[in-house]
Amino acid sequence: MHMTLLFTVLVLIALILFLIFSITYTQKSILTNSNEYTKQLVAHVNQDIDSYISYMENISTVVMNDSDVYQYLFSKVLTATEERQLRIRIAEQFHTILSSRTDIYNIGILSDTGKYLINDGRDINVYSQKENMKWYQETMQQNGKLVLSSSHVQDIVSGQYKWVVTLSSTISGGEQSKENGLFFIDLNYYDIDELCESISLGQRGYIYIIDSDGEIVYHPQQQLIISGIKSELIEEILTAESDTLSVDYQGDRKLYTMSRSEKTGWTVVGVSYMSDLMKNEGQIKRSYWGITGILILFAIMLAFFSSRMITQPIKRLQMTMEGAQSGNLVPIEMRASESEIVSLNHSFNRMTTQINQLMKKNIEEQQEKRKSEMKALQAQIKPHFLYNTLDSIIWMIEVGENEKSVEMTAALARFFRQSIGNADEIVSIARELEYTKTYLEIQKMRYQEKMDFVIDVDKEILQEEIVKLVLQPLVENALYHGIKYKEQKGLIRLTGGYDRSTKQEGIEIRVADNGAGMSAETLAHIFEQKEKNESGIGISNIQDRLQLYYGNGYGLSYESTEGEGTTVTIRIPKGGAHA
Amino acid sequence: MKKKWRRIVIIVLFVVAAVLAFIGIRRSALHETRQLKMVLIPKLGEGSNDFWTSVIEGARMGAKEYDVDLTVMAPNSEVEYEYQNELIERAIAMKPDVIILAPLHYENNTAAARKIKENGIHLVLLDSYLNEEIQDCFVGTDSYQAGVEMGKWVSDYVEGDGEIAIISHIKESSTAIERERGVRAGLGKYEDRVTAVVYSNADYEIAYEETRKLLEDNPRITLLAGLNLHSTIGSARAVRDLGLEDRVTIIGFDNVTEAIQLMTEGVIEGLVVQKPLNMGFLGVENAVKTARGESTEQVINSGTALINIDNIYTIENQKLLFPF
Repeated sequence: MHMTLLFTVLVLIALILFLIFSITYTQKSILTNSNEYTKQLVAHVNQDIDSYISYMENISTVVMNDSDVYQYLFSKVLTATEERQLRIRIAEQFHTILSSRTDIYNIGILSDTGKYLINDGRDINVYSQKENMKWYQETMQQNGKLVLSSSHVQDIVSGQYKWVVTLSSTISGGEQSKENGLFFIDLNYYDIDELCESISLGQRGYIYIIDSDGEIVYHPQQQLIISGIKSELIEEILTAESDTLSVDYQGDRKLYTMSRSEKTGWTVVGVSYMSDLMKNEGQIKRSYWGITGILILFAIMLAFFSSRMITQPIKRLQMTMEGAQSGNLVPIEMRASESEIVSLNHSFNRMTTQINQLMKKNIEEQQEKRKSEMKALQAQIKPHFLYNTLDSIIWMIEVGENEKSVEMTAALARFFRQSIGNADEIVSIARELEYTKTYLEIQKMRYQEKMDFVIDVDKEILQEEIVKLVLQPLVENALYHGIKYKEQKGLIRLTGGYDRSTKQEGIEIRVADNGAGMSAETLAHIFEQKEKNESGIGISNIQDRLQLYYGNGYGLSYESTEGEGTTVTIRIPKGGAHA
Repeated sequence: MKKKWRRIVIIVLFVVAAVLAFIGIRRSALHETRQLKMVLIPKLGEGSNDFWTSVIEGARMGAKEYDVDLTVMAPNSEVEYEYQNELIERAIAMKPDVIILAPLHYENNTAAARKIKENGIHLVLLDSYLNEEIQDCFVGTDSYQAGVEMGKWVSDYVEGDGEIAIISHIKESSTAIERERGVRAGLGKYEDRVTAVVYSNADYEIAYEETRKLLEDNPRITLLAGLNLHSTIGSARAVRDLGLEDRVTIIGFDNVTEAIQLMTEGVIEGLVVQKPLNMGFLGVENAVKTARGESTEQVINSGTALINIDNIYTIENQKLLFPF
């Protein structure tokens, strides 16, 4: 749960940062790009106009310096024919010029004396108001210099009121005459208008041109401005220091980019609206938001699914491990898709199997141990021996052997006291000997004709320890498997002491009888006997216990000769060192 | 179980939030850029005469300025008021925000105009009134005021016993009615010099004929007041053809190149000129304000200019008198 949340929050933050940066960058980008574009555009328009005007100026110079023109306008000595011819030649020249460019409307010459030639011989408008017009007045003022007018209506030609930009100059009659003439060439203003109108600067952006006096040469809303309905920056443009300006306008921002022409003195101004540029921004913003929205959705889905893939199996593992703590060791069902978890699973399963096995083994060992303990206990109780001895006592009492019966009873009591009272697995050799001696005494009382015993054990080993219930059963064996089958009186000899023959010092105790002995075969399988004697303990049991306790290097070893006797050697380590 | 539910809830919340944000941005963007839709029904269409061509041009300028989707539908002559009613019906069906109407007939366009308002569409009247105040606002030349100016001007030229004739245009148009009223008011004490009123029906020929008849019948008429373009031009042509420039002074209304020419020739003395470009622009501007619920004046005067031979080529008047 936390993972999904954390993941989503992180992704959200990343996405929002991305969004902010992208939008800011895009905004700046748009602005810079549009500024660049406008600058270039405006400069280009200016260049176009400049080259346009240059061309006109060249033509003008040619015409003005033409001798024919001079002659026609100022010569006093022309015949009618000469005049006609001059007119034809000039008209041809005009015609060439007019047909070379469609954006020249009119080209004409006038003199003070009323001589004139316009285009291909058009009539002059006698009612022309040219003297009241700025272009004319300024041309007169500049006396000989080419003057470029702002846009105006040309009324020189009869029946024509076209919008033009006029390039004009006075022509001097020379020193002889005080007369002056006028040359003018009218450029089609519509072309400038179309050029400027065709320029797109966003939806509402536009271009306008002002001349050096601040008069509007071109403006898409010229009349509205003149009427005062709309206003436009004129002063600010003329006095601006840099070539860009921005102005707040009706809650929006207008960006002005200027380019001034040295040649014409005109300033071309490109205007674009911030909101037009930012209209796309709105779209871009929306797209970005949309993308972010989608990305968020994806991120959430991703977070959800990936966390499912990770946390769910971990949870299952966790729960199962908790269950394992409380003893419920069940291997987890695995799903192949979760790789790291799968290997964890494997390990866990192996662990539980191992634990299960160990526990089982432990239980088994415990059970075995208990069995052995039971056996040992049983051995300690020796029911058969008890019954038989009691029988003997009863018989002795019945035949009046009172002293003997008392002795036997006492011995019996002593015997059991020695055995049962002691729960330890390990006893001193002295004790085990004592126990065995009591047993032998009892048995001697019963079978006095048949047996005798000698105990000859080194005193030095008496305080050493030994697993209990080893000597007595072996002595019992010697009695019942050896002596019993001898016809004469048998002898059991117990000897023992340190065995210094090997590097590791040990203790040896021997039980030797001169009884029947064993056949070689019996001897070979001596430890495999499952036969139990009266005590309930067999040789294999003794051997097992010894080896279990002291290790495989110790225990019993048998020597036997059939018909002569058997000797069993008990070998244990010194100092009670056990396995 | 609980955990699963929690997770699902949070995920759903996120999704909802994301979608909402998305929609929210979209809607606000849409709101910003929702364009206003308008229909302009002038008296005449583009190219028919300079005046209405300028009006339409001004309206288009306004449409560009205010980002308006503007459709223009126009009759072919100034008597087609029935057709104009049809156009009004069509415009209503387009479900615009505003209809800008220049009604041809003072009375007979009123019913159709009422339907505009009934359909929940704003109405801006251009140039002429209706006989009922249905409109949201009126943009145009104050015809009465213009008439007054004209009357005053005419009175400057009253000589001796000279009589005045008014050459009006369409009898039932509000402009004709108002202008005449204004002229009479402007004439002041000379109002009684008005001895004739003729109607050109916005036709050059009719104006020509009426004037000719008038001048031939009554040699005492020395002043003509032409109340609209057709009247002015028609009567001026008649005066010129009859060679009566010296005897008769014409003060006219509206302009066209020919009128300027006649002025330079001395046939027409002066012109009261409207500002059609301004009218068109202001019409759209105020339509936008009305649609946006901003307050506007009830009557917006697009203004007039008094033109005579001396001020034809001033910077202000050039653009006004010589549209492209």
